[in-house]
Amino acid sequence: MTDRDFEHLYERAGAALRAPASGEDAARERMVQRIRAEAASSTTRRGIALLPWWAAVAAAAVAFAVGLGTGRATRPATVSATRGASGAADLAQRPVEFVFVAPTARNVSLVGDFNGWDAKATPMRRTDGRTTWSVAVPLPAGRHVYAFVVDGDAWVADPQAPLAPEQWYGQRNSVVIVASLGDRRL
Amino acid sequence: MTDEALVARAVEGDVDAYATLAERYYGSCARIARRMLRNDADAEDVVQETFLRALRAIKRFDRGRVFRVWLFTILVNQCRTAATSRKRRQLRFTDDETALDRATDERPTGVVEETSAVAAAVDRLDPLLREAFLLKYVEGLEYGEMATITGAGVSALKMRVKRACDALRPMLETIYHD
Amino acid sequence: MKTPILALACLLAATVASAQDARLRGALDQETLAKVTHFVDSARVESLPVDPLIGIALEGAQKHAAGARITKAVQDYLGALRAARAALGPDATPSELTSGAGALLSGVSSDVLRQLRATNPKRSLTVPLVVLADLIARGVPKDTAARAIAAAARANARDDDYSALRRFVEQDIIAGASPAAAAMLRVRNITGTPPDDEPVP
Repeated sequence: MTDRDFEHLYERAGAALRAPASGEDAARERMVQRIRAEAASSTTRRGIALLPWWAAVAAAAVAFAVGLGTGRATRPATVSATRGASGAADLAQRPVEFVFVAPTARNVSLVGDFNGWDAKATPMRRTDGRTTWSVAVPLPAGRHVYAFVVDGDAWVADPQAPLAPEQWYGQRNSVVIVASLGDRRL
Repeated sequence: MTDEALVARAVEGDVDAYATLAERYYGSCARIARRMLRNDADAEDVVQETFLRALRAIKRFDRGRVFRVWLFTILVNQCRTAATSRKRRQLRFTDDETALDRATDERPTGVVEETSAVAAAVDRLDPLLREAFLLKYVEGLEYGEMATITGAGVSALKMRVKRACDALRPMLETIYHD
Repeated sequence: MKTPILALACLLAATVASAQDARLRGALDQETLAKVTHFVDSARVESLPVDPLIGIALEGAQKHAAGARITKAVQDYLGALRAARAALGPDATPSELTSGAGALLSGVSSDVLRQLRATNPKRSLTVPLVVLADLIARGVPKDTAARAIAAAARANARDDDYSALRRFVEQDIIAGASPAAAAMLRVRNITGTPPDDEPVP
């Protein structure tokens, strides 16, 4: 075979791999639905564009504050327990506020390892002129993984927060770190 | 409507325009991801994540760039990350899930057999060689575009494509032997 | 005097464990529950964080994942926690362990964690490890990300520095920069110099 024949062989292989896969139409449709759900809850498109610039900056600043670092406590934490004999972690909890800009969403809830990932457990409230959703949740010190559920079925990571590396079930989650009161290392 | 026109609308917040772009490129992204991850479920996850990331970033898209190249850059990075993550987790659903897909495939038998055979051959390539072959021969990209997408130099990419072709040749000759 | 306090602490721990088991019982089928409970109990005995393991199982239940997938996820995470403890040392805090496990699951080697600990033995590694995993999740090659974080650690970076690094790298990637180049460039904001003399791949 000549080089031209081999080239034809590779192109033929490429064409074979361009054949649509079984089930691709359904997968495409699922993707479009995710896109529309994400667009309904995004902080980087119409929602921000419709806000006055100072409100957009404030919303982004609040979202960042809870995305990484210590979270934002809205009132002093109450110490409720000390270290147990088993060396269990500090159980003191402090409220951490979660904020998500989603002007066109009908409902948004917070899910995470602190509420069993139950979309019904922690509904968020509209604030800031009905474009922003927020909720304050008491969390113990440590690393927590969470996401937002928009309109009951779209799981969305927090665009302002670090991504959780583990992706057990397909979707990415976000990470928040709550500082410990007694952590000598901080 | 051209990509440029759709992108211009998407940048202004037109979700329908973005969705049209996404539908237009879904097939390309899906086939790259399927071959890079060798698992249809993981591929679908990665492709979704790619389009969501692109959606979040579209308002800052530089319209002097080529949308497809930008999109594939995000996709290739996602595929690489997912491959590393999955390897680390040692989740091995590939064989079971792919077998199930083939069992329920509704396409004509000849198409399935050829595609499966070629896919199996390509799947045996080293990931970087496989990636280069897919971008060149399946997606028809120019080397300059491939360089932008992969972060590798044009010379390196040409070498990868050559090595991929050399490795595939005997398998393809067997598949297409008349 | 100490005995009543010890008894109270044990009772509290047992109560918490019982509540956690009840949540799993309500969410998982019998076979998956047995396997997951085994892993959770192992973690508890080894003084590893159990809440993340339970969280992984409950997340899978909420997403209607197959029992085998849930079990494998919990098992893999337990393995990562053990490896994080081995690398970070017996005094690692629970959040360091979970962040370390996340970094390991991203593909980072245990040596990277050991080196970070050796560089900053008295500073919490939670935030650096979270940022390390985040960079990798955004496409920064793991070796490049590890070098960037190690360089920041050597420069005594604070949590705010790591946070800023993460944010800037994300923005650069969105703007079209290669993840590796973005990470190498932005870490200079902390160190003033590139991580090492090797050329950027």
